Amino acid sequence: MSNFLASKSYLALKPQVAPGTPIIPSNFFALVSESIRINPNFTADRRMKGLDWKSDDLLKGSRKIEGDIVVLGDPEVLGHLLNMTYLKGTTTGDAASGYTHPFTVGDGDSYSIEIPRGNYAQRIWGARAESLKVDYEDNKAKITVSIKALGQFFSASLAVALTGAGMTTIVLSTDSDLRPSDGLVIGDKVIVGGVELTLTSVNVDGKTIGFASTTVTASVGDPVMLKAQTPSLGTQREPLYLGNTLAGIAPTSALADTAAGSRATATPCYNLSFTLKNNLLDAPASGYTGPAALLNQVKEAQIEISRLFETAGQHQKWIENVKQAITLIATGRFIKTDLSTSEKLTVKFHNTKLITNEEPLDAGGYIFDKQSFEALYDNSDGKAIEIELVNRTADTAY
Amino acid sequence: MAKYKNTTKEELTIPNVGIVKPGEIVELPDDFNNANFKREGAKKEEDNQNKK
Repeated sequence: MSNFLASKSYLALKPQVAPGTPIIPSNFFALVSESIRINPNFTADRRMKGLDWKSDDLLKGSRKIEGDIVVLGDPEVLGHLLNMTYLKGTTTGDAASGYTHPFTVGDGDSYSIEIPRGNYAQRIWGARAESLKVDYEDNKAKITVSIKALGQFFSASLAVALTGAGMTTIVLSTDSDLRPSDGLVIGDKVIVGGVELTLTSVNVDGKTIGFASTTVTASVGDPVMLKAQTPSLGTQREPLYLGNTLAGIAPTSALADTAAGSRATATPCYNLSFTLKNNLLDAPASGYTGPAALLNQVKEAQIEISRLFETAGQHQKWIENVKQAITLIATGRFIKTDLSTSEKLTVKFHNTKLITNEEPLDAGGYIFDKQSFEALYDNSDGKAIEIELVNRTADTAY
Repeated sequence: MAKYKNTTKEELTIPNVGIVKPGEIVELPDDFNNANFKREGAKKEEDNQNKK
């Protein structure tokens, strides 16, 4: 038996044309960790059958596919994760100067995601961001995106034996799902009976897949696994750094923009993070084992800042419920060869108020303001948040 | 081994192979599997595509 190193894994992403139509992901990125799991929500069968034991079987509940993906926050992978979270507007710019992608509060794209486990891959499709968190760990931006998905394919078992020469179709077992082939697409490679097959059809019945005539022998119950891709990574970019991030905090968004414009006027933060939440509803429906759709409910965001305590100003703003606008500008590496344009993430919170503002005392240490802000809708600006990302990825990738 | 072409507009790094420029054709193992690469002469080899 083979064993596999997790470090040989990767993250592959691609936006889908429609939420219910999977695609082979072709944008490869380095992965820090992931915890995406299928939860069939099994519960014990509690029907009374003359037993003095709790149950003799498990029954399926409503299936969920969800978990976290953690990556370092470089501007290229960040673009896809923002596109999964919020609505991307019209991209401007070019390869020489960089592409500017605006994001506003709205529905993000559904993605196909592929994460290999050994030689085999798990294809998660119809994936949307439940939340996206950006924080800094040892100066480096770290992104944690919590996803929910409509479906996945990792493996299924054979329902009808393959008996040797001239095989052209596989029928998958429906023991776990009445549509076990959902997630596979033409061109995928699957492995069964030690033979690699390239799919030429995925039947609308949800359980039959086709391939060119091949000699293959396998028994009922044998696994049919999705073959992992060999990763092909674009140029690896550095993550954004806390050291290159300026935070402007001011009474209005325009003033916060100005404050974030230079180190002299920005607020020194010892750490900061923000979380954008979509609060997706797994919309159940007849005809679907998992969710039929992932629907945005009300969106929200929170910001956490840790800064040295200087005056009681922030304490007063907290208890007096005073509006503060926050603009974060994280600048990355130069894009244009004359060094006039750079990778850049700009996040504007137009109206925030402090939910908590603690000044804990620890012996021997400085006093900090440990702040939690709620991002609120700003009635005068007509928005709660706006985001702009400058990177090297053209609009066509999204 | 078979010949595969980088069909993207990007330089791509393949582990244990190296950097492949856009449009470049490189020799890779028969079981290479990547959506950014097209097997050269795939039409001719289609019947042999599914193999052990």
